[in-house]
Amino acid sequence: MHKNKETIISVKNLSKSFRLKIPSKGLKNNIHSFFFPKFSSINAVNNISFEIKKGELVGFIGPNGAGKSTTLKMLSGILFPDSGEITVSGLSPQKDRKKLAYKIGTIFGQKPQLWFHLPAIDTFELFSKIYEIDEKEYKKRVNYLIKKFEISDVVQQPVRKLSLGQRMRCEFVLALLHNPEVLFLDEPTIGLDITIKKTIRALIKKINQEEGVTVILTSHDMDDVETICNRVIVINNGEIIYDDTLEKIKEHYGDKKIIRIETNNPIVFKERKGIKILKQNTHEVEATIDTTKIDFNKITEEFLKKNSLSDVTIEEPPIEDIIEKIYKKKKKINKKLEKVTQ
Amino acid sequence: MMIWYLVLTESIVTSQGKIIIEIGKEVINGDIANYLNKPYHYLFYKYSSTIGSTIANFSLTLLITGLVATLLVGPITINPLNIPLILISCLLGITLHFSMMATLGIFTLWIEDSRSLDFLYQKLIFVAGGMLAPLDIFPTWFANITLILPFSYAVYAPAMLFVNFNIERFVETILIQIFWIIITSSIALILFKFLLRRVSINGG
Repeated sequence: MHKNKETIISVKNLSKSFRLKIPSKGLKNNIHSFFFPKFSSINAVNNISFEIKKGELVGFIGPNGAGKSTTLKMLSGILFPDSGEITVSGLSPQKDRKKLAYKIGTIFGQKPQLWFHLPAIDTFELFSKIYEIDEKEYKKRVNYLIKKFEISDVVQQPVRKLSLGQRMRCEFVLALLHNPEVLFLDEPTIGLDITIKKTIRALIKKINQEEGVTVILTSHDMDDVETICNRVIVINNGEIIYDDTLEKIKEHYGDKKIIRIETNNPIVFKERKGIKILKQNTHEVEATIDTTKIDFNKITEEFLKKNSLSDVTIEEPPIEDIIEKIYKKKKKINKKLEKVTQ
Repeated sequence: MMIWYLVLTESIVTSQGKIIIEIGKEVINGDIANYLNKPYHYLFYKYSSTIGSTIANFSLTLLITGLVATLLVGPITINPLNIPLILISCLLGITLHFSMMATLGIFTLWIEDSRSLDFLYQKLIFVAGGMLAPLDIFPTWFANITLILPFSYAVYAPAMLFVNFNIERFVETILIQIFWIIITSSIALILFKFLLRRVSINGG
């Protein structure tokens, strides 16, 4: 983590719950509930705290309804927390919403900001006025971003005629026009094909490296998080259940390695404690090795004594599996705690 | 005169669109999020973005209905020097109409249903605003009540200046229009400040 850099986002004991109106049946009850509505409450975010340093690339991951987007919306000043403190770029998102708007850029994958019937360039122009960008500065910046995001062919066309990938690249230009310090990306690659996803991921990393923009990203696509982010905050049921670098997550939870071996001789390899064979034929085997139960170096030494190696690949388990493991571990802890308190 | 009166009332009311429904939609589907993180006030942005199209719609409606009225009942007698003054009152009427609709639209942050509010407001503007007929045709007690409410100053008052202009009526009309704009926009701004805490963005 960026230990020496200054903190740009600070969140302390943040909580947010949503009230849901309980529907009533019948005319009489409906009239009564119009004047005296009954509500149920859902804890969307439950007492979370974290800090983000300038220039970090942080991924918020968690299942649907975990509280990722709600947290992001509180950080960008759209939603009001029930309790807790937030500071973004030295400002309170709720008290200094307008001032903060100049310092942050947002992309909500499901809520486009471009005017649907206008060419993207017109929305860029409108935003340059809204963000009070100097005319010369704007022209320099917009040309730079258009080139960077390779959208020069499409900016003059009405947004409705663009493909989703082209539209999303235009959305990025729009969000970066005013040189924001922090970029909030809420599922920015949703619905995009793999090629465009890769392009978008590379561009996010590039912008972060070149301009030092702090990026906070939520996504269901683990590849997004794995490629873009250097830190991951795992959130579930409104609580942070893990907050560290991707490497450390893999170190802590990635105790199973997937090994694929090809040999010149008929393979000699047996399943035992810590080794599970996934696929095997005469000259090829694919297995998982649990490094907590068996010494990985010892097993390779043994294998090499009995076999003549032609090819080998060792893979870390996919991040999805690791995240699932974190959820399961958290569930187990919660169950134990429940038993203790009962 | 009745036809020319309707030319102006229809032009004011139909040119603005359904602001209550628009705000309600933005609240319900969460699009309001895209406006709340910008360096402007949502309501001022809404006013600025609608006033352009409203002026264009108003001019076009006035032109077309004016042509039809001329063909049906002949041209209206109007002093060209009064036209800019009547247009000032129309602009204030349009602003007041917006301000009242915005106030009700903000309530969707609380009750989450804009259609019923829009239905009620439309009926009020049709009758108490004088859109369907001049208020003078109603019984005196009803006309007197409507004249102390803001609805009539959005529609009836500028339309009366259009068909029967006099400078005393103009001064009185715009002063009352400004008074109601200040009151209704203040209510809208205060309500917005308090109800903003209730925003809950649906759908991610």
